[in-house]
Amino acid sequence: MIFGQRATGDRQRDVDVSTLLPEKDLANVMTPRLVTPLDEVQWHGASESRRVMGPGSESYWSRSRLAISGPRGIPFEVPRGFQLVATWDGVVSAVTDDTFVARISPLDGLGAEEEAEFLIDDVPQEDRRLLRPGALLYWFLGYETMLGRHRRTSELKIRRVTVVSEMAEAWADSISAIILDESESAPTEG
Amino acid sequence: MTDPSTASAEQPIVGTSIVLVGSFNPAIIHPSWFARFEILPPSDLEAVDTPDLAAIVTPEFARFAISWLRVQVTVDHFELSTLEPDRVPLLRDAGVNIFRLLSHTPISAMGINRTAHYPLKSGQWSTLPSTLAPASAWAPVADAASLVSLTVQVDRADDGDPGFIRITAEPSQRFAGGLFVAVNDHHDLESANLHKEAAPAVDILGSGWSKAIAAHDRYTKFLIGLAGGK
Repeated sequence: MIFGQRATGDRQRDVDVSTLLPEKDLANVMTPRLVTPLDEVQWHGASESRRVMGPGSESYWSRSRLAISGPRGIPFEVPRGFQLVATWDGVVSAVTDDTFVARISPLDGLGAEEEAEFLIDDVPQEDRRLLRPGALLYWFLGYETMLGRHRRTSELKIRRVTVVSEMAEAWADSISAIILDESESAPTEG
Repeated sequence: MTDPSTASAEQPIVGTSIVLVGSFNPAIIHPSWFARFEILPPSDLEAVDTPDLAAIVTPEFARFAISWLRVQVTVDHFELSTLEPDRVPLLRDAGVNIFRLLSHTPISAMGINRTAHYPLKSGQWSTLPSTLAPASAWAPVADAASLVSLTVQVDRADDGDPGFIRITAEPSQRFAGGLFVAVNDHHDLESANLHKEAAPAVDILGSGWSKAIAAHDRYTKFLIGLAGGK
């Protein structure tokens, strides 16, 4: 369990995110904790103190399919429902060996900024090299329904911010030239 | 045990897209370019190798898709779209990153668009036409008139940007008796973009994104409320 590390004031209390969500199925879910003054937190929207983003205080769902391998390696697809409950964005303020601290706020702007500490292990491997003070992140909380199982999900994404350079456009030009060459040299029908 | 397809069948389906109008070079919209400049993470792009998601890149047309993002480009349109609710912010980031890199791309207009299918209780859709376009108004010329599609245009008064917001309401084709809402947040960049570059579009994606998403939610909630839903 990771705890937030907001540093000031006696009126602050630890807020375990899991207590703000109605479902208690915590299996396979990381559970970072936010530390924030309770009187500054504006949990709003639907009942059960659940922050809900989306029209009519309902949540967004998407429908996608997950391809998996069945018996004898035969692939099949299962429908997956995903319900987004909350999105935060934030800025990394400190990185240690195993954890990092970020200042985060609800993406819809309807809540207080908070500070939270996360496990580096919860960042996708390919994003970890982007993890440094000043890095931008998103934190998504939601529910996934698949094969009859409803579980809470939590995902951290370190945002990719491109560095503009002459090289980028040069690279684009070179790819374009290759495609054009291939197109012009392709046999034509007729 | 709950059938997951049933469990999710009653939930809204929401799509989000960025559509740019201008002059584009589809031949560069290749997954390798996205990988080279880290617009998308490598694990996302691995899926492009699967047959269903294979990239098509020609001088006139480019298309590829990954698990959450669809990219389609012609010489005058560039579209990025997602159906995944937890990827909407990443869609914005992708748009910003692409046109930061391709900063000299002439862009004349941009739409931040949302489409959504909402299930409604039986009979609720019928309350919308009676409010927005009552059949009685057509009584002098038609015995039976029904609303198939309604588009309303509103000014973007809060930011003063050239353009408009169009809200379309129709019966959903995905949910029987449900509501389909499309919101086109259109930005006309021609007049304010003397150098015809990508910067104004990038600026709007950066600063106006949340407002556009919130506006969609507001209009949709209004329509659902008119229909007696919640």
